[in-house]
Amino acid sequence: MSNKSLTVRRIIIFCALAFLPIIIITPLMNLYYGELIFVSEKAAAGSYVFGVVGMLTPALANLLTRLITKEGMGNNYLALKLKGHGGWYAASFLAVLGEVAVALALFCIFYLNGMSFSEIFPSEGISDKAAIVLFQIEYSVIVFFPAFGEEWGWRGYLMPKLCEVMGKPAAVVVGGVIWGLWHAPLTISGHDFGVDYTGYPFVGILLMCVLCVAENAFLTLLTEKTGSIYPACFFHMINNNCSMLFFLSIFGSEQCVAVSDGLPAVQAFLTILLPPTIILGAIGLILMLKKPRREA
Amino acid sequence: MRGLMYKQLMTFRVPAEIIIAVQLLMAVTGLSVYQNNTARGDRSLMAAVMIVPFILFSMTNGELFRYDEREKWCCFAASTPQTLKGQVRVKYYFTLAAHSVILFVGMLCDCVFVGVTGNTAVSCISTGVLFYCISLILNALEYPFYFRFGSDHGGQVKAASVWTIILLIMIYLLFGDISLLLNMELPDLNSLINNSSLMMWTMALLPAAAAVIFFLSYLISLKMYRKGMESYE
Repeated sequence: MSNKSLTVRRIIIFCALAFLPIIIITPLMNLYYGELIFVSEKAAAGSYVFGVVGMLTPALANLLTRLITKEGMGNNYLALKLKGHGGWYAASFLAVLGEVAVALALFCIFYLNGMSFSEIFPSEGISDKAAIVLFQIEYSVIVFFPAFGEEWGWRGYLMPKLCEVMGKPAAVVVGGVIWGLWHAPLTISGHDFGVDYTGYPFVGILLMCVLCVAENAFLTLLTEKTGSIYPACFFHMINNNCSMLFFLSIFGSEQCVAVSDGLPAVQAFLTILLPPTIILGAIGLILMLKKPRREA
Repeated sequence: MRGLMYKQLMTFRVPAEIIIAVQLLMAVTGLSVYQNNTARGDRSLMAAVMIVPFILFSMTNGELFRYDEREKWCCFAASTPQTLKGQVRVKYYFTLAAHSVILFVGMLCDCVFVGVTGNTAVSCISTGVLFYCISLILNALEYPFYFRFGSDHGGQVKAASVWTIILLIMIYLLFGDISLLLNMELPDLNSLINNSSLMMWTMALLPAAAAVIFFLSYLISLKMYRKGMESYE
């Protein structure tokens, strides 16, 4: 068997192993709770269960694929590689905060036009609010394990394999679409967008794929530049735990939060959350394709 | 380092197995008690699943040191490529790894608990992270003693330090000004914990403090090990 076809075989086995548990668990959970889990009263419990068990499945798929195809544990991206890569580690934190800042700015521009800054972000109890944010960022360590689960699968296994069989831009798109489709059972169950939108569930799945392609570009860049999956894990864990909505609920006024709560999910996604992610993805792709400078 | 980690795992295998077994047993018991309990808001058992393994680790951490406390072994360890630095570092790596495994298993148990009950109010994952940090700090305070005086004597020095602190507190409680505590009622104490700005900042800074203290402890242990190895038999 040629190297390329062996790699394709490994990709197929990995995808099957990553998709199968989610495809099985999601309907079972819906059945257990008697309704679509993410639009039920128990949505928080569902998010927690999928956030832990579901997100670990790509890592498990990575491990099992290596065992089944007798690949061994080479090129596993598990080393920290801190030396000389401090900038990329810092970028993994700062990029999320930048993304949140842009999303907040877009929210203010599109939906809070006419309100002054102090009306949107009242300064009362700013010290306590800062403590809550710090608390949330530091306690993101809880999300580290699930984030590791996804990153070790997608960026630590799938992306290097895809890059072996196609060009990097194509690999980023294909990898992102696979990652987006992996979320499909959750999107069908109402995750992220609910179920009350035009084109349910296909529009939701499509939007998820677009988001995943954009994020995949930046996360692949982090993994490729450092040779380690941990910067991508840090990005993923802070991204999942400290969203723009979290910052809005802490720093925003009641009026501001009410506007955000009243927004349809798809509209909010398209106008506030997707643009900064696409910008980040574009930066990631450009940096990834940039040829290294030759030393004189 | 991988070899040293393996050696450490082998020397700590029995306590590690006991800790994980206790954690899983408590989770299963907790779930069955919860299922048969009418007080659905009770989450004390889940909190125990998160806290007790860290306490067990702190009680048994002397095992990490016991097999290395021989003068000739220290001389041999110094001649290995990892040098004495590696011998000290591996204790800290292993402690961090063990704590992470405990937290991970706790998180899985917590996840099953929440999944079965469909109630996120029973989740104690924040308690787990809190004790993860506290336990790291406590271990970081102990290790320099272990390196300097050996696990037996280090344990005694540690116990003496703890008792001295308790004694000082008791002396203060007997003769110091405790009017603030006497005038405080229980609801005030709860609100102090839940709403106080100081408490919030303490909680927020705890993980960062744990990381700094853990690193400082490693630096101190490096110096202590060199002194301590001369006193090993």
